[in-house]
Amino acid sequence: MIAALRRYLNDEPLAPIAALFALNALDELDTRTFELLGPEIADHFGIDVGGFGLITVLVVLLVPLVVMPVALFADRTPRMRLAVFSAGLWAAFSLMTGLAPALAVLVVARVGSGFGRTVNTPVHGSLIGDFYSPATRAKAFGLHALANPIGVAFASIVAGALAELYDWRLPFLVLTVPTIVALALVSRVHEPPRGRYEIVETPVAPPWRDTLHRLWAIRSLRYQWIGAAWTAGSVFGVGILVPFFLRDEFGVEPGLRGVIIAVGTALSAVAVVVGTAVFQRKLDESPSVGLRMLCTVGIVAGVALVLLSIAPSLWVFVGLLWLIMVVFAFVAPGLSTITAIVAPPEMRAAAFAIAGVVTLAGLGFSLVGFLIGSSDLRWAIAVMAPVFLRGVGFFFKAATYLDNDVARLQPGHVERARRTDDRILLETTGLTVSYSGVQVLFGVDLEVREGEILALLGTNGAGKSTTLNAISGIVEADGGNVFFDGEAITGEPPERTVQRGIVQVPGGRGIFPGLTVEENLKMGGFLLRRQRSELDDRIAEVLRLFPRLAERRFQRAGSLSGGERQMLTLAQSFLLRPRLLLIDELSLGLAPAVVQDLLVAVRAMNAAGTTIVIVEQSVNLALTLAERAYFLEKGEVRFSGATADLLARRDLLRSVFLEGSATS
Amino acid sequence: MDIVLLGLVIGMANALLASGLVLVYMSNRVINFAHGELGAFGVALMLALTRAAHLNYWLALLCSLAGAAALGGLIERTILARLFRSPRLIVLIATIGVAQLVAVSRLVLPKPEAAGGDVAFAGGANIFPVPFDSPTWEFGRVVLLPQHFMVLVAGPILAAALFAFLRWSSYGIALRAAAENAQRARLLGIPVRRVSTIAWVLAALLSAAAAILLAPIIGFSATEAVGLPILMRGLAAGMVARMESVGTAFGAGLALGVLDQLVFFWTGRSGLTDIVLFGVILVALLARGERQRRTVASEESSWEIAEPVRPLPTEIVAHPAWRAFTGAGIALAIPTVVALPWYLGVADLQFIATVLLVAVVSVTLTVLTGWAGQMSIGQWAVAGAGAVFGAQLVTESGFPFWFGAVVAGVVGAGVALLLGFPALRLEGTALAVVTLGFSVAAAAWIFDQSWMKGTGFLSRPTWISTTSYYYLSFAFFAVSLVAIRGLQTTRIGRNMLAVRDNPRQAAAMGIDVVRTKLTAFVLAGTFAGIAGFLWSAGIGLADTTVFQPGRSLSLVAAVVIGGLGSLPGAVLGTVYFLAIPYFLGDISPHLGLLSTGVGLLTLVLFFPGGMARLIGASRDLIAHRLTGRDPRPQVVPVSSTARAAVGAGSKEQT
Repeated sequence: MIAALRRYLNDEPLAPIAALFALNALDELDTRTFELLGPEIADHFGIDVGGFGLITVLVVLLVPLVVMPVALFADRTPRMRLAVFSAGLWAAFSLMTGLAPALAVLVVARVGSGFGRTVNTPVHGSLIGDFYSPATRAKAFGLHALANPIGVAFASIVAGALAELYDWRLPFLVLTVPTIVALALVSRVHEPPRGRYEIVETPVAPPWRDTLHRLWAIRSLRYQWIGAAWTAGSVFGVGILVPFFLRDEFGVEPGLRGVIIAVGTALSAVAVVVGTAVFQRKLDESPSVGLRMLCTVGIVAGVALVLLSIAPSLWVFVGLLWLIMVVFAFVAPGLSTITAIVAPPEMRAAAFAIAGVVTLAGLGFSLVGFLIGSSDLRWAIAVMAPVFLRGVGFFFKAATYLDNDVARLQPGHVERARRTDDRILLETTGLTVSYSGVQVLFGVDLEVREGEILALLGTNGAGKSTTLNAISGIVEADGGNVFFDGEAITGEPPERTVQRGIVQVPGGRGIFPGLTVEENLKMGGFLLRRQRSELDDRIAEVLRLFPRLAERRFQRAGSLSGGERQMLTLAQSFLLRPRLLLIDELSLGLAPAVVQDLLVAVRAMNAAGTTIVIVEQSVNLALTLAERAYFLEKGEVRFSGATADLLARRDLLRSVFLEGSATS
Repeated sequence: MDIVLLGLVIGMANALLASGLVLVYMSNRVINFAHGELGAFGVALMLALTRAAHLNYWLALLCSLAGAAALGGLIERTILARLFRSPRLIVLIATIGVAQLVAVSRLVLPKPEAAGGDVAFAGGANIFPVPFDSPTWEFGRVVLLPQHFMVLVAGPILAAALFAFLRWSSYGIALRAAAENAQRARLLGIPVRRVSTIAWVLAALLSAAAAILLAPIIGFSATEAVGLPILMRGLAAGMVARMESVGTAFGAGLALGVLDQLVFFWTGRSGLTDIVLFGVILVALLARGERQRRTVASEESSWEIAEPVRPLPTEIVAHPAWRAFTGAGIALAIPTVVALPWYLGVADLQFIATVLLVAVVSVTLTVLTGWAGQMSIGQWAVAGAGAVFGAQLVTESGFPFWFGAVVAGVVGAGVALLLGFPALRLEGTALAVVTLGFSVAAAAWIFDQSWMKGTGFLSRPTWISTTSYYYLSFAFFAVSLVAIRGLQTTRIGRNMLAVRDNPRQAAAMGIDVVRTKLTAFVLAGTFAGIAGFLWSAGIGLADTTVFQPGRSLSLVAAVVIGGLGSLPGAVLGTVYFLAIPYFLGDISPHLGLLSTGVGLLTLVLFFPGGMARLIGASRDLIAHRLTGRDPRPQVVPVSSTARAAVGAGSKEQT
């Protein structure tokens, strides 16, 4: 048995998943026991169904409040310790439930055990991601998910029997024994290194605001979360409605209801195993194939929901209900696996936590369901079906970005950015961009070395500016990735990339004409607005660099000449002392003498340590400035290398020179 | 002098409203139609807190302002932020949806008992709370009360604070910077979306402050229609300032207040405020002229929310199976329509007739919006103009019923023409502003004039029973639909589409843009006028109580919900917005407003194609089944040469 399991896990260690499985199963056992024995407990303390429901709701509401801070904490501390601590915590509170002398104690015990349990989702997900390699991860998640139906089964049989024989308190007391055993087992498992399958060094979790922004920028995760809000929101509603439906439409008694759910749970357990195996196979092809498979299966559940609302007889209804339960069990481990694969290791716990929180955000949909349900149950379920299918649509959308987002985590980029000689500051891989359906970039690969001036040349419409826009985040790339300093920044908005030190100087309209020169400069230093004196110093500095601006300091920027405007644009960008400056069309429409002044400033910037990428129509200008150049044509890189070599490529340059003579 | 002082008091409130409106315009490039509603919400909250919850004045004031500000921020975060890149016309429509929802949330607030629920009350210092009892102060011919002093003290303070914010604070400068060049602002690390949220919060704050200051002076009615007049005050001043400068808007607001009071003093007639504001808007728009092109170009509205429903390809239309299908459909529909009166009660028949006639007005709106690229927010008032004048002729002067209908059409056309003229000189949302002004002014003043309105009653001639009224409505509906649909295939119709899609190119091709647009207006006005007259004949009333400006907004909502630019969509949207209150009206009296508001926002945010998209998709499906040909445009796989051509041909965006 153990040997077979080991083989199943591709000979990766068994102990970690066994430990996490035990914790998950015990947690489920505690929850279900409490639910199952609800009537007895309520009777004992003299509360009615409403009061009992209130306690349950209290615990559910606790989750979104607690889970995010816990997750952010988990991304910074040893997770095994946290898992053991929280398991100990809820074991203590579980015992307290069993011993509770008064209602107040019971409430405290339940809230406490709920608190301990919120640790499970983020911490376990994050741990499994580091314990198991991508090739085994789905199986590990599958085993972990199997703990839930098993917990339910045990609760129904063992806890039910114990309570029947003695008292409702006994199961909670007995529960402590396996918990202690599990704790002993768990404490022997060692913390895995974070991100050991993805990155070369140990990553450090970013500040919490950054964590949220960066996870949100990963589109395959973002659309999965939005999808989760829709699907889980609608399904939660249905879950509440089904027992009422069974009673009111078909007159099913509580006993039979229990049997129906129990059979469904057993089927779910089988589905978890089968789903895991199928998913792992698809995953080995590519992550997006795996996710698409899950989505397709999800559609089955959506259709089943529609049929559920028009089910003519009890057995059709129950069959559909089982089908839906099976689909969810089939899909669940796969979805966890995908989160564990695509989320950066240092933010994995946070990613799992967000998935949990957004699911609750979807509860708004179930409220609509309840409103309709109060008048007609069939309609209430029917309304949920399109909501659910819309959610599946979001998952499909997530799949289109998935492979790309997984590529973000390749360790090579970090390695290249950390090299002591010839450091790569910025890298783009396979960047594709389209504007409303018309593709402009077709897989652009760039490498920008620290401290150099790089020229980006090409004909009109070759995609030069678009490349810059995709790097700074003004334009969202359809595919491919942007790495800055070894870290993927694809999809981050310009507000974020500026904070990282990437500043773009747009061609043409770079100033705010209605503001004074002074105000324009203040806007350039917006990020420094809290460091007043620092900003003043820097403004004084750039005004020394551009004395003509100093003379016009309190004029409206709209009254400046073309050259002065471009100076102001550069000055604004210099204020932030960027690490990487992206200059778009520096010389456009300016007199040569003015351009010379600007070039002096650009060189000074570069000498001070700023890496510069300059997009130019004028090849001559670019060649005097840059040592290396890329030549773009029709959205593809046609040449890369030393500028001297580019001069020999008349075939490429001819188009530019013709173009230049036509426009000048 | 004394009158001027009183005017300044009113003007101060106008000025605060205008500055808020301009702030939002600066950050979102859209006229915020929810602006007045936000102010009204503040007042309603204030009333509820002081009169129903008996809170201390200052505490209540704080809560009300905070409530309105929070609501403004919430709206920006949840709705506007999602429409960051959408065409401005869509954002404008979204603010209409927001206005309706804010109105609903205001209406469900507890109302003060003393006000007797929905009754309007003017000069209600005894009802609307003031914080202190100062001795009244007589100055010339006016008596200054505590509420006037409040305005004179609070107004300048707020103005100074706003000025300081915009001039010296980082976020204030950022707001102006983002207004001028949002993309550049983002590239400098300015969080443009947060700036936009700040603009909304401030705007809501100003609107609420102004409305709370204004309420004890001019009164406040707790009905649906109060938001739009408040909006008008700010809008007129904002238009004078071309929505560009908060300072100018402030000055214009003050001047408008003075003008308003002077007009009141000279004529000695009340209720002229709205007509003055309407006049100012007209003049401001006409004076804008050429200089304005630059900003207008940036707000140039795309009428299109999503890909339109395409007509079926000819080979399918000509296919025998499809012909048989449509033929069978028509063959089934005609007997159904004819037979309905035998199966339905009088109330239901009356309701169907109403829906049909209102649907005609919606369809005319589609002609304007979907085809001529202009948005009218006063189409119901155009219908009203026809109805009110026609009713006067029939009821007072004893002209025959059919003559009234014809005159109603002529009046509708005339009004549409008048409204269209100023809007013609500008693209974008100018027509929206003008028509809004007209609908508010019409409800407040124009329809009440003796040369316009008779008794306000219009009864059907005895020979028109409910059944024949139903047939009449149906016939008119069918004729309008066929006429408008037929027009689409004529030269005028094609010209309209060309002008909508690219006015400059159309002009270059020799199409007279002005005449084409005016034709669209006249056509829309004619049908709307007749429909309004017939509708009035159905309910027996033709006065300001039924031709309220809020209804015009609901019509816009209906057209958008149905699918902008689609005729069946306009009809379906109308059915949606009338049927929900008709069938589910017992749930809540505000259900109509709620359903259109929610529907509008849902559509704009999630399903931009409207209901027409659904119909189109199912039509395509049926056509595919019947004829075996896929009516959807076939996607040609892009070859490498074609791809290269596209790559080279596409304009690089900077």
